[in-house]
Parts: sequence; structure tokens; C-alpha cells
Amino acid sequence: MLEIKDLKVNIEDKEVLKGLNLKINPGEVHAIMGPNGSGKSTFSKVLAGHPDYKVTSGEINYEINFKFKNLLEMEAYERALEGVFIAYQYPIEIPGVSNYEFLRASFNAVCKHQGTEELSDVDFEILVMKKAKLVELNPSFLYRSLNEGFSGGEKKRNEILQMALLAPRLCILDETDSGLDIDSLKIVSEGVNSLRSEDRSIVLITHYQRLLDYIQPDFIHVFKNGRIVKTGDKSLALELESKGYDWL
Amino acid sequence: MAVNPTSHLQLLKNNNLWPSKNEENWKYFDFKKFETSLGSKEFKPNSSEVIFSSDLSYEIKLSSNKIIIAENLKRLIEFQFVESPQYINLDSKLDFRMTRLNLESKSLKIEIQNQKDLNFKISYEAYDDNLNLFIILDIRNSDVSLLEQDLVGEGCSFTNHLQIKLENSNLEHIALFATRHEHQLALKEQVKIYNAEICVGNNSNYNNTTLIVKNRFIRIQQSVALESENATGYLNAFNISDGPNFSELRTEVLHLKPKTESRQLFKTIAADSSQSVFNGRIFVNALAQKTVASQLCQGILLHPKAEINAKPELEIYADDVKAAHGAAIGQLGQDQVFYLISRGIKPEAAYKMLSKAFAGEVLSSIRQKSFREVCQNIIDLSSEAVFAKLAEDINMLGHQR
Repeated sequence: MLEIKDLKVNIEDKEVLKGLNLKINPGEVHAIMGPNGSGKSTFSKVLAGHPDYKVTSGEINYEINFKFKNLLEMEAYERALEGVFIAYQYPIEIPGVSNYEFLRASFNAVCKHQGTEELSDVDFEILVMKKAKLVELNPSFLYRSLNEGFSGGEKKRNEILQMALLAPRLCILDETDSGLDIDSLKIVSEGVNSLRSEDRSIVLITHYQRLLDYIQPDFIHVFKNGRIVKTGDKSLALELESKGYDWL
Repeated sequence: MAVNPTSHLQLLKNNNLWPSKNEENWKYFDFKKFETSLGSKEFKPNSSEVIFSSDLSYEIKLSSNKIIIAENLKRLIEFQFVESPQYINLDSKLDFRMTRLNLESKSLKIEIQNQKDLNFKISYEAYDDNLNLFIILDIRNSDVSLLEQDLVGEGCSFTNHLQIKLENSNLEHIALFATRHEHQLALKEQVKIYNAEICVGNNSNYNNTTLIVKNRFIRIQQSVALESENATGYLNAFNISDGPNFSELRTEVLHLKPKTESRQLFKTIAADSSQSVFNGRIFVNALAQKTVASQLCQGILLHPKAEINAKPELEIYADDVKAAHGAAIGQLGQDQVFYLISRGIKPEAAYKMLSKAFAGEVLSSIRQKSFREVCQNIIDLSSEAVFAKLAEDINMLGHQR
């Protein structure tokens, strides 16, 4: 699904990722942990194609129709249309753009790209209501301005709602657990778990082992100084919880 | 260029009605563009030929050679012609010279009395000609929604002066200045000078929404005098301009009596090498204690060559007043753009969504639903070309990798 080779990334001339290598197969769930400033969020922004992050070397090969294509050669919106989805740590508020209008535009763009017919107004509404139920998001939030005045938990649920609606193949969840209370964490995690499938890969970026109690990863990677310094299974998270990162 | 002694341009100059660039009021005005646009067009005063038509519904159509009035308005509104009308906002500091010639012709006076929930439209019709109108609206004991619609095409111009007097009345006034869609791409010559004086009298409210959509060259001046206690005046405006177009909006709210209230919101989107100017004045005289007045200008620049100039002015002589003003001009929020793009929405569509949201606050102030829909459709249609062109420029602007 995804193969990253020797990825180096700068922000304003400061090197943040210093030679990252990672392979993710279809259906796998990878967790990325690491201390603050180790490059975790940079990794998600680079995958999304954020213009502030400059890739100085390396490749991000992503499988599209059984062929690998370098994501770095694709525009940000093209990556999204090909199934790359980032659930942001801080979802942006956009006053005046209704959540529903935004979801519809995004969904239609994906449908068009995939060559499938757009849904009728009625069918789309049924679909979006169903997905909102999945993350227990009150339908009234669909008709409000996008993320405006949403609580932290509501914003994160809205991100997972988008993920459920757009059915991406590669999902990167950037600290989706931060700012969530226990109930919300459970709801969001159940939403994510329901979206696990053989052909969908998920990357969880998190600081806390707690999220991994709910969403069981296949692999855990530890980022430090812009590189992966250790990879292990679920037990690594428990070890990190008790020892911290200094021993690595 | 050969000088035509009877041209509008020459008449303005011969009658000392041609301002100088050194004057503060005309600081941003592009005289060269104006002269080129006005060219040798004739000055054509109000026509006195009135036709009543059953083809129209609650509409008055004004052109240089006739006035067509809907039959169904005949029963509700009085019409007459007035010789040599006078200015009504005597405290105004706006410069009405450009429409001074219009006072010398017959003016159409429209009187509305005791009408509740009257919605009607005034449309300017022009094809390759010139409109120079003076219109008076006298509204008493009524609640009225008026859509004043200018959709004149290429090659035509107007210099119009509108006066509104309100007594025991509420007026929702939507002024839409656009260009016929089919003319937008090839638009070369077009001048619009529009002056409005509004006198808000006893127990009255004036609620204005001005929409300026892709005009070649336009200068609008609005003077609102709050002449009785508790009178209110709300001015909202949205302007979208592209190409090398010039648009200027000058507003003035005169608080002349105690407990009057005004609120102004001006939003503009400037694309390409367009120039947009907003100058808003709040005047509070010594009598107007307990005045509440605010003014906010927000602008979005879509291109490095686009220009927005904002100048708020507050002149306050009373000491118990709440007054505020602010201006913020910048680009569309890049984080917002990226958020939309990263969900598969193309950059030009993302810009369009955000611009529509930006305009939404002004459009939503239009209470009359059918008028709001007319305006929304025209803005949507006209914006298409702006955003299609923007898509081509996006690489240069550096919003994509």
C-alpha cells in the first residue's frame, strides 16, 4: 500500500524528518509514537501534501490500481481523491461553509474521480445520517458551519465521519485521541474499528497507550529525531508507557 | 480623440463638474480609465414617456427613451415628474457633482403610501446607450422591499441619482450592480456613477444591501441621514471585482438626532489587477447623544496585483456615543484552503466555497427571499469566471505544490 524510502523533510530550512523508511501493507494498522518534536505530525502533513513542508529527498510510493506512484508528484487534492485521508489533530474551523455542503462537495469529488454516479440529495442525506450515527454526532452539527464552535470531541468525531463517508484506503489519524474524554475516545475508536478492513490501512499517531487499548495496532514505531528508532508489536506501547523514551 | 461638444464628458467639464485628482474625495478615482470609458457618449436626461405594461409584474423599467411601469403597480404607487429637485441631505460631504446635470431634467417621483409588504423592482435597461436619471422615492406609512437592479451591458453607461425619503416606514433596499453575463468576458467600456441620498425620518428604518458584481468602472456614493430619534440605518455591501476593473464605494451615515443607530459592513474580493476602494464616514452631530454606530470593512485579495483601499472616517461632536470601526484586508485563510483541498476538493472550488462563505454574511442580510435568490444566482454566475481564471493563477500564487 505505502512504501516510504529515505524521506527527508524541512520546515523553513530546519530538517524535521531525517531519513524515514516505512512500509505499510493493505489492512495493517500501524501506530506511531514518540516524544514531542520528533516529526510525527510532520509525517502526516507531508503525506497530505501541505505546501509548508519541503521534501528534500526520498520517495513516498503509494499503490494505485496495483501500480506504485510517488505521492510527492501528486497535488494534495489528487492524493485525497486517490484515498489518502488525514484526520487532523486540530481540524480547521470554516465559518460560513456548512458542514453538510462541505461533506457533499468532498463526497462528490471522490465519486467523480472514481467514475461513479453522484448520489441524489435524498440518498446522500440518508448516507451521511448513517455515518453520523456511527460516530454519535448529533445531526444538527451537519447543518452548522464546518467545525465552527464544535467542541474538541465533536471536531474529532467530525473527522472520523469524513473518513467513514469518503472511504479512503490510507488513513492517518494524527493524535485523534488528544482532547477526548473517555466516552468520546471510546466512540471515536469504535468508529475507527468499524472502518478496519483488508484493503484499508490505518496509521495512528498518538502519545498515549490508552488509544491502543481500543484500536489494536499490528505494529508500533517510535519516532525520535526525525527517524524511526524502534519498531515492535503492541507490547512496545506498554514498555514505553513505563519507561518513557529516554532509553531508546 | 475628437471632442464632441455635447458629450457627457464635455458637458461635465464645461460646467465645472469635473473634479480634480487632488481632491480628497477623488483620491483613488482613476480619471484616465473614466475618460476612456465614458468616451464621447451623449448625456441623455430622463425620458418622460411612460408606458404601463401588463407584461411586467411589480417592476419599473427605466431606459433612456421610456419608462415602463407594471400595471399591477399602477394601483399601489403614484407617479409624477418633478422639475428641478433639490438635494435632501444638506449635511452631506459627499460630492454629487457627477450627477449634478441630472437635476436639471425632469425627475421621476414615485410615491408610496400606506402599503404593507410591498415588494417591487426598479431595473435599468441599457444597450449601447447612456442613462442619466434622477429618481425620487417618497415612502410613507409603509413596509417596502425594493430591488434596484442594474444589469446594463457593454458599451452603455449611467450616472444616476436616487433620493429616498422615509416617514413611518421600513425600507429594505437591495441595490444590485452587475453586468449582463453574456457581456462579461468582452467587457470594455462601461461607466457607472451612482449617488443615493436617503433621509430616514420619524419611526423609520433603512436597511440597505449593495452588491457590486464585476463592473468595469463604478463609483457608488450613499449618504444616509438619520433625521429623527430612534431612526436606524444599516448598510451592507459585497463587492467582487476582477480583470482591470475599478470599483469605489463611499458611504456616509449622518447621525443628526439622539438615539439613532447605524451599522455598516463592507466586504470585498479583489482578483486579477482590480482596484477596490471603500471609504466610510460616520458623522455624529452635537445633538445626537446616545448614538450607536459601527463600521467594518473586510477584504480578500486573490492576486498580488489586486488592490483594496479602505478608509474609515469618524467625526463625532456628541459625548455620549458608542462608535467603532475596523478594517482587515488579507488573503483567504491558507489553512482553510488546505483543509478543503486535502478532502479532494480542487483548489478553485475551495476558493469558491470560501469566497461564497465570505459573501454569505452580506447576502443573508437580505430578508426578502426571492430578491436574495436573484442576487445569489447572479453572484454565483458571475463568480464562475473569476474562479476559473483564478485556477490558472494558482500555481503562480504558490498555493499548490
